[in-house]
Amino acid sequence: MNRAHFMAQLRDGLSGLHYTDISDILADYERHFADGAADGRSEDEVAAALGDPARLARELRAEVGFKRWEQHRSPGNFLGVVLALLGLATIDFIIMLPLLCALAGIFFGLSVACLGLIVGGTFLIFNLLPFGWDMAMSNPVAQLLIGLGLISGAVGGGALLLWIMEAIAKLLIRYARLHFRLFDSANASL
Amino acid sequence: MPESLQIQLKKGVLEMCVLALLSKGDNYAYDIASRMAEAVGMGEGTIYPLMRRMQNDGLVSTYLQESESGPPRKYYRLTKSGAIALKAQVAEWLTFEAAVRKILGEAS
Repeated sequence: MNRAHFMAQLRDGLSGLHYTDISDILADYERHFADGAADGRSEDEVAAALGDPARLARELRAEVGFKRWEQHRSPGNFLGVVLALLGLATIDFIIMLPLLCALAGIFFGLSVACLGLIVGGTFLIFNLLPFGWDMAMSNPVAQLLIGLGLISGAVGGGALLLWIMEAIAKLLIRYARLHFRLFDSANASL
Repeated sequence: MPESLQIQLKKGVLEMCVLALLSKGDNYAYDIASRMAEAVGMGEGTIYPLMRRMQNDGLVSTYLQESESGPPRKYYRLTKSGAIALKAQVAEWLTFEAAVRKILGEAS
């Protein structure tokens, strides 16, 4: 495999990552080939010593995914981490997948419940306005308080939910990273 | 899949060896990779995921430097926490190595 072939495969494996990450990684390997040439080695020799570009791309993708997630905790970046880990195909992670799906389902249900409480509470409060629909309750003060209670309960619950999700995600990443290191060694890269 | 003890051992000390190399002075990936390939038979390409991981962990930092040939070189420098990690890992390694040596000595 020559330099162009190696770089093309590496680029393929990295597609979907952020543009700056891809160019940064490609620059690393371009520089490696340049250093190899200065060392008097052929492109084929350097490519052989570097190893399988597809495998390297999977590991780099996981590393970049972790970094993006640590810098900015968005659902998109979390998805990136999950996909990267799936790419590494650590067996443990595949076994954990049903558990993760169940967790995601529970969290989705609870978020919908929070949203429902907020909608319900808002409805109760708006219902107090003169142009509102029929009074749902005989006591407007009680209705206002119940509405406010529902909303604040949902906001508090939502915040707690986010906090727990963040903690679980952190734990998951630490776990995955540990296994990623072990998995890494299972490759005949050494 | 049986995995050779040697591979596991090498893998475990890879990070420590790179930290030790950098403690002797800033260096660039190609040089680190060739030294590691020669010393422990590490695949050269593995250096880049490893350096990226160590950078994420805050053990090393990078800076670019112009070179006579080709694009600018990325140099790696040991950070303060990298130096601390190296010290801890070396202590751990020496303790472990001494314990194994003792058992092997008793066995033979």
